[in-house]
Amino acid sequence: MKDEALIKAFNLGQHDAFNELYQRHCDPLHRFILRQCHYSVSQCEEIFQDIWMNVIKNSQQFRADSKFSTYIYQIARNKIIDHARKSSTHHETEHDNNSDELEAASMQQPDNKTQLALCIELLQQYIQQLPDDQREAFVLKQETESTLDELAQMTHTSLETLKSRLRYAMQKLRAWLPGECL
Amino acid sequence: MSQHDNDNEFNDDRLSQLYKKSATETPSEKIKQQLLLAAKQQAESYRSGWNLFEYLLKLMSSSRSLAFAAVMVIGISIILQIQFDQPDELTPTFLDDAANGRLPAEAASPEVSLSAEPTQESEEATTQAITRKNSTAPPASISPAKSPAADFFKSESEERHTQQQKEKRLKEQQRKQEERKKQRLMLSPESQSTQSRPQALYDASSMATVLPDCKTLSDIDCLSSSRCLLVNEDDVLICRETVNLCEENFIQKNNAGAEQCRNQQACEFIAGDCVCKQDGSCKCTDNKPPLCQPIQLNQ
Repeated sequence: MKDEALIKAFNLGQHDAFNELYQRHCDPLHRFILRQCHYSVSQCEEIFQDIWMNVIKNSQQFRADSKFSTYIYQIARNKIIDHARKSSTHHETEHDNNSDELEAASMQQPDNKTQLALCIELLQQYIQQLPDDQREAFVLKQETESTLDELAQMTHTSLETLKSRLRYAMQKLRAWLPGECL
Repeated sequence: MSQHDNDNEFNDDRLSQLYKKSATETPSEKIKQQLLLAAKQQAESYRSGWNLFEYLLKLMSSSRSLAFAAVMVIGISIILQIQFDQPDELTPTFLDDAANGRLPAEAASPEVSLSAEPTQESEEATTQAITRKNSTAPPASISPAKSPAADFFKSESEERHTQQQKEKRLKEQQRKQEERKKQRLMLSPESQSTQSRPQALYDASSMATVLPDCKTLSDIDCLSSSRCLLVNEDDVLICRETVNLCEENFIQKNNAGAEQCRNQQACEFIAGDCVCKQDGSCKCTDNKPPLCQPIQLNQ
């Protein structure tokens, strides 16, 4: 059953339809928020919960002519932006701290880690070092099965802008990651 | 370059594979439980009538054609309902009167009119009618031999008794009308025996004494009526009373009576396509409205 049919079923009172919808999207959406949100995990999870509550309360406003994934990632994006605006000062501080932590982590690579684990850790660090818009484009590309057009719609950009962001993000990650990782 | 090619440009398998391996975070179970609970509550509220109605309205407003179709369906069903119910609710038929042992002249008497105030005369008529009806029945409190003077001095209790009897009889009539209506709905071939036909004809004519004459109806009202029929006579559409069991209760508008007609063994349905203006006049393809007529054996 398609996402759009599930949300219709939920609107008609079938709560199981929401369970299915949640199972499909919770993990990718959660990771997208973790990558995009510059705060603590608990704050990011708060945003995550807030997004789903928004879906539950306003499910009847969902228009069937758009994809559910586009709809929910747009909400997520807006929530993250709102959250960033509300606590911009706090954000700057935490971001700096995070950057410092990342740099420190990359300097102190433990020897006992396997190569794969090391590559994964490096990738996560490098993703965080990407500019916001490039990271957003890259993570959305990886986490959703959406087309480039849909990604452009989610991020409120033109197709060409999105492609450009994706291209830069991938070029940087390929350049930063050691050859053994790729 | 196609969309697919565009996508391929950004499908770096090794980078994607590494990313997927790194993507292990999942939301906490607590959040999940809270969300599912909230969803359950919301779904329950959606299940309540008003919210569902509101949602359907929103759905309809999102599609003009859907809304138009819904309004049309509701409108037509209301019109059909009104037309179907009208004859039985407005006046009792001769069949009911006959069942109650009353003559057609009595059927038109004021006492059968539900809105008529009971008068001395009407009560006398009622008394006489009851007397005729119950001529073989055990003697009632009203004596057939009673003189007008005796009626005049009738005690209050007798009047009350008469009134009660009248009300009882009216209720009985209404109940029988309901039963007859149900029988008409489930009209079976057995019920269409030749014996019942003259009664049906008489029934229609007795109704016509109270209801407006079919000739006075507009084309559109005639098409919707269950007791009148819009027919082509000398290439002119006229509205006349139904004259046989096939025509009785046959709704012509939008071929609504098609199924009912086909269900009757001895009747055949002839479809017609009519379009009506706001002033009530209608035009039909080939000037032929839908018909339900007895099957002609020589065909």
